[in-house]
Amino acid sequence: MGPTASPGVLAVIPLWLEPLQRLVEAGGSVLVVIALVAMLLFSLALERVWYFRITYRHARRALIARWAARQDHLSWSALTLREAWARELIGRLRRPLPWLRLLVALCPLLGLLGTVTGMIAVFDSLAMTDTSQARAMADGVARATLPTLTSMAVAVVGLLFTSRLEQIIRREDQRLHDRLARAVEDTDA
Amino acid sequence: MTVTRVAAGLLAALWLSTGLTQVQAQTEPLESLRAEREAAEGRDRARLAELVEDREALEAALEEARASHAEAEARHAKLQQRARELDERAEAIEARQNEQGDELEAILASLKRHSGELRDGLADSWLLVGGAELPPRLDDAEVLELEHLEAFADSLVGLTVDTGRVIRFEAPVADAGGEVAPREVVRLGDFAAFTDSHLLRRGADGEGLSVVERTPPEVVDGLAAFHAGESRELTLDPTRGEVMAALAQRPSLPERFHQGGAVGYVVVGLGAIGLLVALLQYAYLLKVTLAMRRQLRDLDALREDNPLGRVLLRFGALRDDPVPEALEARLDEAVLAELPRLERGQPIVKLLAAVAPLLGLLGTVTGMIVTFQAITVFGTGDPQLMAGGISQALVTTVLGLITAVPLLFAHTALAGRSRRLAGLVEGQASAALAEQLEQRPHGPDSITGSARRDPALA
Repeated sequence: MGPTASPGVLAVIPLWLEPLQRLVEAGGSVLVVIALVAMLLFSLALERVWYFRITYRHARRALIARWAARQDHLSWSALTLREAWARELIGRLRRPLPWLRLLVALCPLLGLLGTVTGMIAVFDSLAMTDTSQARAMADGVARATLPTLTSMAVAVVGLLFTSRLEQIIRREDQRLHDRLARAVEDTDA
Repeated sequence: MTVTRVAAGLLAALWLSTGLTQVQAQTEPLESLRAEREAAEGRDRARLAELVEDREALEAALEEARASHAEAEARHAKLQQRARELDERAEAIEARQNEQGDELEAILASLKRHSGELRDGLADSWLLVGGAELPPRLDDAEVLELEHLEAFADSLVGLTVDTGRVIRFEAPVADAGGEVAPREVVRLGDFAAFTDSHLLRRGADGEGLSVVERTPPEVVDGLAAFHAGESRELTLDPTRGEVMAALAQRPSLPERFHQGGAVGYVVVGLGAIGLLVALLQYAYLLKVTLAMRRQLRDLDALREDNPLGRVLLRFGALRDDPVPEALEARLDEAVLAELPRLERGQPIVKLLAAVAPLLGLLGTVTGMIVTFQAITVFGTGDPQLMAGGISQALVTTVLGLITAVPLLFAHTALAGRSRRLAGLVEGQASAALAEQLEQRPHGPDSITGSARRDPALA
């Protein structure tokens, strides 16, 4: 685990992961939790992108075809039906977004948690040892702020991702309506 | 000469005796005292006269005295002879001692010093547990003897050998409750001694053994295996118990929780309430979901036990309203009436999730204020006190954050599920309205409608 691990273990950890390992040692277990949250967050975001590119487009094409196949495009009921279909499709596209937002909101909380637990450890060791070593305390506090730093970085990137996704979905909502309207014009023309 | 001496002695005796009789006769009548005195004086005078007259008796007494004097003289000469011999012997011995004395004195002094230091230094050593002996103190030894050196060397070698040995023995051990019971103890050289479940420490008198209270659990885990001879790993405390004592001061998890104080309890209590509300509401939503799935599989038989069924039933009652806009408004109203039940509990969960970290922060700040006030009042420049206070104060923040995380999760889950259900109700209701308005219940729409509902089932 530590740098004093046996050479067999060291051989497993590649050299470029060394800084990461040191980060985990410095930040404690909360940092690992933050890393897991970040992984979950970005994999969800990527899954959304992939879903948007592939699954959603098929569904959209099918929906437009179904809409174009109808004889009645103008009555109130037809418009309501179209609205319901479009809403359902966009709803499916939007479903994981609250979870993404939750994970982003969780990051600062976790960062603060890691920092506070780190601080508690620092002050405890300070209360236990006889000598008041300002140096050791400063070092401990500096280490304790690592989780906050990490979580802020994750939260900022996650926020960029989620806001971008929201924007894409909003634009897609309008586009879907345009396309549905255009499909009707094409069939009518 | 002797006559006068005797006479003087007699006179003195007489005077003394008269004095004594005077003292005794203080209580007696004066006449009897005087009569007594006169009688005594008379007796003395008679004896004196008798002695002066009897010269032979005097001669005999003188002879006797001279003989005893000669005897004493002889004894005196003999004793003086003996004293001279002893002096000569003493001088011979002192001469010998002076010849070799300085080196031996130095050796004896150093031996005394070393044995004293060894005893002091090893007074609380583990080596003494389980049979090893310290060399005796030599403070009252005057002359160096060979046994001293040999005993010292032997005990030193014995102790040194003992530092490299692991021994097992039965010894009475006091547990944390003060109960003394014989246990099997393993002693590792001069490092440590332990039973199969606890590290041991020496008692206050250096004699008894007692377990170290609150041995860290990770240490205890290794001890049992090592004690049974299964593992070769053991935790040692090179500082002779200081680190263990420090670790024992570290509060356990429940103690940490109680450090949060009233604010901590409030935070955790609010979190528990929020989670309870969320769980109940989520269970309700799951029940609604199942009921709605049943309803979706069978849209002809509308039931009252789910929002979708209720909306469609109300809609069925309004079917003959000719104006589509009015119909839509009625439908929206029906859907809106269902929403509060689906979204019940979300506001309070969200509120608690927001409040918990704030309360935790509040607890931390008040704790810090208390700590600093104490420092202001008692004016200790002791950072240990401050550090302890601050670490206790920070616990409430931790509790607040830990409470907020599951509440946020719960809120998101509730919101997501309720939104899905509401969307489902709304979509189905709109679809039903559209079909109704198209007045073609067996047209292609119904097929597409059912086709469209299929994914909603998934």
